[in-house]
Amino acid sequence: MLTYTSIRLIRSAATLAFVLVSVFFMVRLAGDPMLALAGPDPDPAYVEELRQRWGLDQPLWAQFQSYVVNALQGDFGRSYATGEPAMKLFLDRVPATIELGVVSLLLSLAIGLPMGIVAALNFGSVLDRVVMSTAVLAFSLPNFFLGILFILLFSLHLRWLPSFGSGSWQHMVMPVLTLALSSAGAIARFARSSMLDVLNQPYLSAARARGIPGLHRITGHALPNASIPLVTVIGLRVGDLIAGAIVVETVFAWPGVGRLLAEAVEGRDLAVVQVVVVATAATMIVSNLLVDLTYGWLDPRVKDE
Amino acid sequence: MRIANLVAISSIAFFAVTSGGRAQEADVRPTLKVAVSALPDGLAPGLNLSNVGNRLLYSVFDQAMKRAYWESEDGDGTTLTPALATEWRNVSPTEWEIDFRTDVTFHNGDPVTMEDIAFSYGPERMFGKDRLVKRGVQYFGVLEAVEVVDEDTVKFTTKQPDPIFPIRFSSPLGVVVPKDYYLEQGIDGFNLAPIGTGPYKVAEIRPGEMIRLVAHDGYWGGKPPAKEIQFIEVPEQAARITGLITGEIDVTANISPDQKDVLVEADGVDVIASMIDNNRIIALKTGTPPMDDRNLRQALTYAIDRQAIVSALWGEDSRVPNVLNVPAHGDLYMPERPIVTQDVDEAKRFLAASDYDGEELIFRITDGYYTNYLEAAQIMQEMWRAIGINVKIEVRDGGASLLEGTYHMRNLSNGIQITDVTHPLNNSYGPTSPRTTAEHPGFYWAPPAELLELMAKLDTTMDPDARRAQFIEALEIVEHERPQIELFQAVEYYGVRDGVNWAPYSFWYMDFGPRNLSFD
Repeated sequence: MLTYTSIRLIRSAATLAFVLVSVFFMVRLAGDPMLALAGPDPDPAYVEELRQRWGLDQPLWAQFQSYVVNALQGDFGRSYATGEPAMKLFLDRVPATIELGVVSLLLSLAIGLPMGIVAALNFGSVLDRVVMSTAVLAFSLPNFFLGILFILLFSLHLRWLPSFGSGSWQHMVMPVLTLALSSAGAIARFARSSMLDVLNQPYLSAARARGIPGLHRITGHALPNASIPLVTVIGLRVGDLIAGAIVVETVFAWPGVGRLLAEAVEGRDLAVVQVVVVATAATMIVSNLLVDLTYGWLDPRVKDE
Repeated sequence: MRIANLVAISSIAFFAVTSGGRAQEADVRPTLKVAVSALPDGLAPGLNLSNVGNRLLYSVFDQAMKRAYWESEDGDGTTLTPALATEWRNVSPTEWEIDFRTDVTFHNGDPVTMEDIAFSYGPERMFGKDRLVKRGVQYFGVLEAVEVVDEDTVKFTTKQPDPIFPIRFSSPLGVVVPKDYYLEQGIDGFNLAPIGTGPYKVAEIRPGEMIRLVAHDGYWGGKPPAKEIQFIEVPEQAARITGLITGEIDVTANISPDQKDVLVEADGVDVIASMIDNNRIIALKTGTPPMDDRNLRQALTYAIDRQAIVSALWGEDSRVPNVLNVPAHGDLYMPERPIVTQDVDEAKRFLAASDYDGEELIFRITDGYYTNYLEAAQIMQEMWRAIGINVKIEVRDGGASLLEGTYHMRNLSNGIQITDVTHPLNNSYGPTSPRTTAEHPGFYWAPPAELLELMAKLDTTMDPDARRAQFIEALEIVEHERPQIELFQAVEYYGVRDGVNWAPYSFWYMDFGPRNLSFD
């Protein structure tokens, strides 16, 4: 177990180090951020002043050195736009994003899992086809489109919900639904195929032969065995919590990390882009690590391999 | 018993006094919610000069003089009118004395002193070598000294005679800030917690989300009509439009022309088209062949039917601007000067006289930066093709990639921030402009010496008739050389709920002060 865990820990640390280094160079490939800041008709003296102010007049290696040294201490520099620490701007936005992400993840599980299980248990039937068509539809509709449809329906026509912003449960309904529905579609598809795999296994036929009731066969025997692929999908969704709602946050003016990233990319606010990218990677890495460790717990054969 | 009575009477009296007091104090003014597609990250004048920053300027700050936009029905009046200043006089060719109001207070309650005013426009902030507002010289670089004369007068000394000196105060940088607080905060601190003299004070800045202003009841210009103004960032247009129709917001900016009809048809809301003093132009990169040939540039100009483009894309809401000669120039505007119209024969004649041999001309356009620009370019591409000019459109994202590598023309705009031609002229063709600096990526034209001389004269000639003559000469040079093609005047569409009486100006300023806002 120790080897299994330590190998994964080392791998995670190496991935994070790679992201930390590569994001520095990647964001600089997009051109001079100061030209974006200075507008389409930049005054050279102003651009030069901005470069000096933000240390972009230094050689690249010197910038890189101070970036790494500071980043290791949790300091990702200051936003070019507001002058505030990028980490602070990021942390300010995290609660709103987590709130949206967690609620929509729970909702997508609550919708997706039963849909997948029902479809698998009724494999080939009309119910299976209806459920799966619904799942594919939910999964394929782009978020921005679904979001705007919701605005038109719930805000414009029914006048039930506010069309943008945050601060109350009513504000949460549409962004959560938009995020949860596409996620639920994906979860339903995975749940169905994993369940189908285990439903055909001999041990379930044996369970039925022993007279174990249907519900118990599903919850006690089928579901635990079908959970490994599901854990992978759920792990990916958890990893996606931080920056997975860029479009939805923009459509509904939800003040989260996704909006921050979209604005930072548009304004070439490198420090903010860097901190969001590294944090997103870190979340993804931690969630993958947890998924790997859960595999070992769910199926001891995995860690023996 | 007596004690019980006393308590009862006291309670009744207390209740009557406090509830009566509350009724008197209750602020019945409404909160105004304004949706915009983007908010500035802060409000320090000089740091946030963009259109998104200027939207809030009139609410929070006051200039010494203001352009009286409100005097015209379309919100584009050009008269210069007193604001914090009451009178100004030219005491010698290079000396101006300006009297200021003495009843003005900053949002923190401090009175505005002449020291604050001298600091706001003085060398330390505006024009010295180590000035705090780097862009200050753009408007106040002409100054040599600023000194307090007495308790209501400040003297400004310019380096040379400056015919437009008072107009400079109506620029986005012409606002007054509190000296001590500004120095204590520094420009970055002031950016996030600004204090001005305007009708509303900043209560909260949440970058990317909301800027909340509350009424400054000590405002010298009258009682602010709204109790609170919330500028809310709503990037998605469908959400802004829906929010306006459902009453979640009262005013929205940034409505695209293709969505205008949605608001026209909706109940309870109105849409206002406002022409902005900003002309969208094509900058022709004249430094290298084949664009160094003025005949080709003239052919490009005469080949296109700009009026047809404006009518198709904007209907009646925009217009074709004349070369550097627009109503916003106030006294210098010459409406009688003809605007170039499409003349295919003339275009072919110029083309034949040029060295152009059919090579591909690259037209760079910033993705989504100027509304309807790409559509206009696609129409022009066909008009140019009809006379044998081969133009390829390259859409780039903003910043460096627009200016990298080989291209022959690109999108650009000419903003008019003060009502005189010297400002756009110097911005475009002045010797320090990036547009005329060959080694700068934004370079597109090196003006001839005669034009530079005329511009220098326009900067210092005090006699209006002589200036007009110089301006006509300058225009003729630009029209002859044709370094740029004016396309259309920018238009901003606003949605406004019924019951909110507010009108936009021909600039990005949104004036929610007592003069321009009321509620039914």
